[in-house]
Order: sequence, then structure tokens, then C-alpha cells
Amino acid sequence: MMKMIKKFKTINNVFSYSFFEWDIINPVNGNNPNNPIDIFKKNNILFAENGNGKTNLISVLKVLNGVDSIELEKHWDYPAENQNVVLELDNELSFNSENWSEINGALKDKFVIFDKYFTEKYVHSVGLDPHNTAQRKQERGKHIIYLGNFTEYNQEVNKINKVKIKVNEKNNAFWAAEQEKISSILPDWLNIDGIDNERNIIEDTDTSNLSDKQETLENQKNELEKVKKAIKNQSEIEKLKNLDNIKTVFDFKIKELNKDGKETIYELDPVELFNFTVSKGVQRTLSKINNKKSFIKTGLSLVDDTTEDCPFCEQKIKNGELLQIVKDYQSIFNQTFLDEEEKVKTRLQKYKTVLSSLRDLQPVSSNVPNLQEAQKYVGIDISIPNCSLDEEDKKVIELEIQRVIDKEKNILNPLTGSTFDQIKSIVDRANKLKKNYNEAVNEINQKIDELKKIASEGKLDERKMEIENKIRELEKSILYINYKKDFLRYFNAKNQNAKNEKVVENLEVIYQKLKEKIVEKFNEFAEDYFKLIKEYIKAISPSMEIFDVLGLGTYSRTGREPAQCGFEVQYNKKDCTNNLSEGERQVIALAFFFAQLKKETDKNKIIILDDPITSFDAGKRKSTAEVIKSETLEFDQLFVFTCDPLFREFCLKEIPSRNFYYIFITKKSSSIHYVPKNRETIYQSFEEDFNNIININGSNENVVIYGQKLRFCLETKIKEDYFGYSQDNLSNMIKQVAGKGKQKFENLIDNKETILNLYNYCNTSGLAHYPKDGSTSWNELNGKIQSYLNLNL
Amino acid sequence: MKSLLSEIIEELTDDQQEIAEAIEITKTEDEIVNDLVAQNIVSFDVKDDENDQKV
Repeated sequence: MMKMIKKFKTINNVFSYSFFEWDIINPVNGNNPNNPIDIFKKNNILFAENGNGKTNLISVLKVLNGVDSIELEKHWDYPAENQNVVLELDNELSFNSENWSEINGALKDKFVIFDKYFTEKYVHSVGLDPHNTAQRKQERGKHIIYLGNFTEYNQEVNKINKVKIKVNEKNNAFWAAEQEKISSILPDWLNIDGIDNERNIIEDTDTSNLSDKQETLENQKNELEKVKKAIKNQSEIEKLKNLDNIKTVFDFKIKELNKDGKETIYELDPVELFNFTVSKGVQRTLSKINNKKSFIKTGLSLVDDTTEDCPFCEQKIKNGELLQIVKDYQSIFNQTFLDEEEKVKTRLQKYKTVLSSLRDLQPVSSNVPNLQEAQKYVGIDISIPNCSLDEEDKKVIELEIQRVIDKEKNILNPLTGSTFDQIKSIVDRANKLKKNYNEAVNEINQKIDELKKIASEGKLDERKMEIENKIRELEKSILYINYKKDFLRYFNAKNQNAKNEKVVENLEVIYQKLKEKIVEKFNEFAEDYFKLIKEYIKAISPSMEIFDVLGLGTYSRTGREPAQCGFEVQYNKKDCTNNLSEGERQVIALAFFFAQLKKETDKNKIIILDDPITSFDAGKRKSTAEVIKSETLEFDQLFVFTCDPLFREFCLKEIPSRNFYYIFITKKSSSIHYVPKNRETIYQSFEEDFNNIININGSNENVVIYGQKLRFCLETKIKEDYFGYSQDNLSNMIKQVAGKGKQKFENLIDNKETILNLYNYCNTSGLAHYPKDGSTSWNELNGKIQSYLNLNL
Repeated sequence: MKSLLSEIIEELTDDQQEIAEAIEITKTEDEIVNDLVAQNIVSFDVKDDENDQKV
């Protein structure tokens, strides 16, 4: 990693550096060629008078530091020439304008620079008064934020906020998608809020009874249509007829009147009826008189006391006996046989009636149209059951009827065997059929009655609504069955959404706490920072101790000025900030800068100070040099630029292990000259050059260089050597003047005309910076230099 | 450098601490959100009901 700059190897066509080559200007290799003594050391002091290229050099360093606003302009005389800057660094990385961007990144923020811009940016408008521009206040805030790692803190706070926003956005997208999914399932009549309270119902939904529900739904829909029809045709409802029951009774118990005229119950017994007969003798007799029944009935009219031949057996019978026999037979017929036979016949007849009605059992035909009519207006899902006997049964009944007929024909002829048990079973079946039929009819009638009642009470609309509600509930149930999985997914998503929203809330709390924390930390930092500033103010200018310097810092993440930092200077508790002298402001500016160095956590920096002592008295210049020495020790490298000879001297004395450089225009270009330690009084160095002038080429460039050297020697030597200009206090100045001796001052006074003429020549005859034409000549300059040397100042 | 988040962790509720502990502040926002998902603190997907799946 690069720590130090070794040299500006080349600066071509940048500001006043038209063509500077370090190795040409500074061919100083020292004793060890591998360790040249002219290269920059850790500490470096560069002296230059105004206009010689000091600030231009700082501009190059600023560009390297990443200041975009500075443009490295071309030399005025070479607008068409290319620019080139080559830096030699200690990590053997050579930097030139071709790989500018590459190296620019490597050196970005490598420098911490104090110059008039630092003062302007961070300090000059010191207070937080309304006259400060927002930009200035912001710059000061940025400064503090940068030093206290608030940039990182700020990024951290912003990151939490962005995480919160991201979680929220993702959750919103997720939740919207889930809601859309479920909404696409929901019918118009059911909104998404409607299902939120139905979670338990949906979870408990039994998915196995879907077909039942669907069937019920269809029925209800049909029912709804009928009710609608009923509403339209209310007058028809009253006309609906009830269905008739089957009233036929299959009963073997019959009522008979006995001889006394009393009613008795006789249970038909076909076996007994079919077996009805008389004894064999009577039967034979009856057979014989079969065709004479009327005779028997009317026998007495055919027989009298004189009849000798028996009308039945045709035998001779004694007179008078036959009549008695006939009377006896007649008695049997009348009283027993005929009565019994009649009773059997009646019973057979009744039995046959029962059998016939059994055989003919069938639904009531009028029920069908009546039901159809009712079904137009009311849902009757009951069908009229079949009540006819099957053919087998009918056959059995037919046979039995035939047997009855046979018996009736031959009443005395007994019939053996019986199907009565079968008949009884059939009767049981028939009764069941009849019962079922009648129950269905009753049920249908109940529905018809109910409809009539609702219609008569004007409640058909109510009924309609009732059915519609039922339909809605059924549709809902079916929906829940069909989409149970989707609904359960939706409920899970809803839970997840709530959980995510809670996380967003918590992130917001964390974010707010971080915002509070960053302000708290900023205040702590600002307090500490201003304490340091006060210490440095005291170190640079003890006289300013009478002032109370109060730090002011505010931090806000909401405004466009995230941090403001300024201070108020008070004297006797009164604000005197705006009454400070320029020097006092400069002290405060430097104190800010040194506090910055103290708080700088990255010590791998190069410190640049550009004339930090503007408007300072000698005492402050000295204390500034001392603070520079103590506060830059830990950093990689130090460059102090100055045009002030006194400050230069303080720095040379105070700052250890330093190299000294003199920047002035040489050969039409600003140049950095290494000054060996033994020649640090520059005018001595120049006088040596004057003594060797015979070896110097008399070019135009050298006219300028040597002209400048002559002017410098005249001015600086007299100021410093005679009058102690570079001394830090009056006592030392007096010592310097006294040490020079009277003789020297007499010499100065005696030669004042010559000295002023020479000085005038340097300043007004075109030698100040550039040769204008050929009117000045190397020989003329040589004469002037010789005249200077002869003065023996 | 101690993160700002670590300095406020004591002031947070258990739920908030769980979130804060899941956040590695040096990661990007997307990575942090992924970590929250991986640690089941947030989820942008829904698993079908287990009972329902059995059915």
C-alpha cells in the first residue's frame, strides 16, 4: 500500500508548470545513489513566493484526492500541447496522466488538506445563524459525520429502513397475490371479508357429502322457481285440490244379524265355506232332488194324506206317512239346510267381494293430475307410490275367486285345499301398499295445504327469501367443499401476512431506535469534538482563552441537512462570534483541522497544509508549527506549503527529519528545488550560484532565473539577515540586529542608492518573471549580479 | 467498528431482538431479507395445510 509520495517526476503543461522534470532540476544524489536525498521525506516544507506554483501543486494533489471541481488548466503559452503529470510513489507505482483514473482511485481520500477552502467550507461562517447557507451547514455536518463513522451509521440506519421497505413490498405483493387467488374463486355475492369469519366452518367442512349438497341445491332451485311461479299465480293456489286416499278395506270380518236380530261379527273362513256340505245320505237325497228343490219347498202342496208314492224314492208308502216324511224334510230344508246354505252363499259372496277389491287395488286416478297441478307451485319430491299387486298375486286371487264361483255353483260340493294363507299374505301386502300410498298422499296434501296457507297469509315472498337463503348457504357449502384446500391456503397466507406485518412493525421500531441512537451518538461525538477544538485553540492562541467557545451540533435524518455543526464564541457570556478578527477565525479553523486529525481513525493519510498562518502574529506562527509537529506524527507524510519566511523558519526548526524545497519559476516553468540542509538560507545558496555564473549558459530562461535570484537575495537577505525578519519575537530580532554589527548597517546605508537601483532593475525592467525582448541581456544581468556581490552585504 | 444495531439490542423486545440478531448489517438489503426468510422470520410463500395434504 502506498504511504508516501517520493517525487513529482514530471509536470508538463499544467498551470505554471510548463515543463518540469524533477531529475533535471534536482540532480542531487547524495552519498548513496540508491537512497537519493532530494526525494520527499516523511515531513516536507515547501516555500514559495506568490505566483511561483505553490497552489498549483496543491491543486494537482487535490485532484488526486478526488476533488472533481478542479480542472488542471494548460499553461497559457502552450494551449495545444499535451499535459502530463508523473508521480513517483513509494510503492513503485508510477502515476501519470494516462493512467490517471486508475491511480486516482488509489489516491482518493489519501490527503487531508488544510487551505482557505477548508476554512471557508467548515469554519468561516462559524455560528448556526440564519445567514449561514444550507450548503455550508451541510458541509460542516458532513465533516463531523465522516469523522465519527456516521456515514457508516447512516448507511446502517438506511439499510434497516430499506430492509423494512423491502419486506413490506414483498409481503404486499405476496398478500395481494394470495387475495387475488382466493378472489378469483369467490362468487359475486361473497366478498373476501365474508370468509374471514368462516374459518372454523371451512376447516370442519366434510368434503364427502358433495353430491348430497348438490342434489339439495338443485331441489331448492326448483323450489325457488315454483315459489316464483306461485307468486305470479296466487289465484291458482286456492284452486289446488288435495289428493284422495285409498279407502278400500280388505277385511275378513263381516257383520251378520242372528236370529234374534242382533249383529254379530263373523271372520270369514274360506276353508270352512269351501267345505260346506251335508251328510252323504242327505247329499244323495239332495242330489236326487236336486231338480226338485222347488218341489221340496212346495212339497206339501204336492203331497197329501192320500199320496202313496214317495216323490223322492218313488216307493210305496203308507197313506198318511208320506205326508209326515215330507213335512219332516221340509222342516230340515227350511230350518237348517236352506238357512245354512244361504249364510254360506252370503259369506262366499262377501269373500269374493274382498277378493275382487284386492285384485282391483290401484291408485286413485284423479290424484295424478292434481299432483301435477300442485307441483307447478310447490316442490313435492314425493311421488305417488304404486299400490297395485303384482301379477302373481293377482293370479292367486283370480284362482280363489274362481274357487268361490265354483263353490257357489255347487254349494254342497266341498272343495278341498285352500289358498287362504296366500290370500292373507296378499292382503297384508295390499294393506302395506295402501298404507304407503295413503301416507304419501297425506304428505303431499300437507305440502299443498302448507302452500295454500302461506299463500293465503301473503307469505310467499317470505318463503321465497327463505329458499334463496337456503340456496346461498348450500352454494357456500359446496364452494367450501370444492375449494377447501384453497381456502385453507388463504387462511395460512393470512396468518403469514399478519406475521410479516408484525416484522415490518418491529423493523420500524428498530429503525426509529437507530435514528434516536445515531443522534445520541452524534451529540456525544460533537461534545467531545468541540472539547478538542477548545484545547487546540488554547494551544495555538493562549490569548483566546478569554473566549468561551461553545460547540453546537444538531443531527436530523429528516431534513435535507442531516447534520449541522458550528460554534458560538462568547465573551462574558455574550455571543461575539461575528466580531472575531480574521486571525481569531483562522485559529478556530486550524483548531477544527487539528481536531479532525485527532479524530481521524485512518492514519494512513498525507497531511497538506497550505499557508495555515494567514493573519497570524509571530507567536501564533510558532505555536502553529509546534502543533503541526505534534499532531502529524502518526500520519504517513506531511507537506507544509508557505510563502511566509517566518513560518518557514519556525517549521524548519520545529519539525524534525524534514526536507526543504523552494518552488520558483525556472526556465519558464514553476519548479520544485530541493534545498540541501547546509544551504537552507537560500540567499547563501544563490550567492554561490552567482559566484559560479561564468559557467552558466546565458539563455533567456537563465536571465529570468538569475534575475529572480538576485531580487530574492536583495530583499530576503536584508529583511532576514539585517533586521531579523524571521525571528519569532522582538528580543530575538534585536539580538539578530545587534549581532550584525554597526559596520554592516553603515555599509547598507552607504550603498542604499546602489541597492535600490538593483532592486528596481529586478522589479521593473522585465526581469520579474519573463524576458520580454532582447533589450535585457545576460551580460547586463551579469553586471548587476557582480555589483550585488561587490556590495558584500 | 461496533454496529449501531448492536448498541440498541438491549432496548428491544424479544421479537425485535430475534430480527436484529438475524440481520448481518454488512450484507446487502436483499441478502438480509433472504436471511430473514431462511430463519423463518418472514415468509412470502405459503405451505398448503398439512392436514389437507394428508387428505
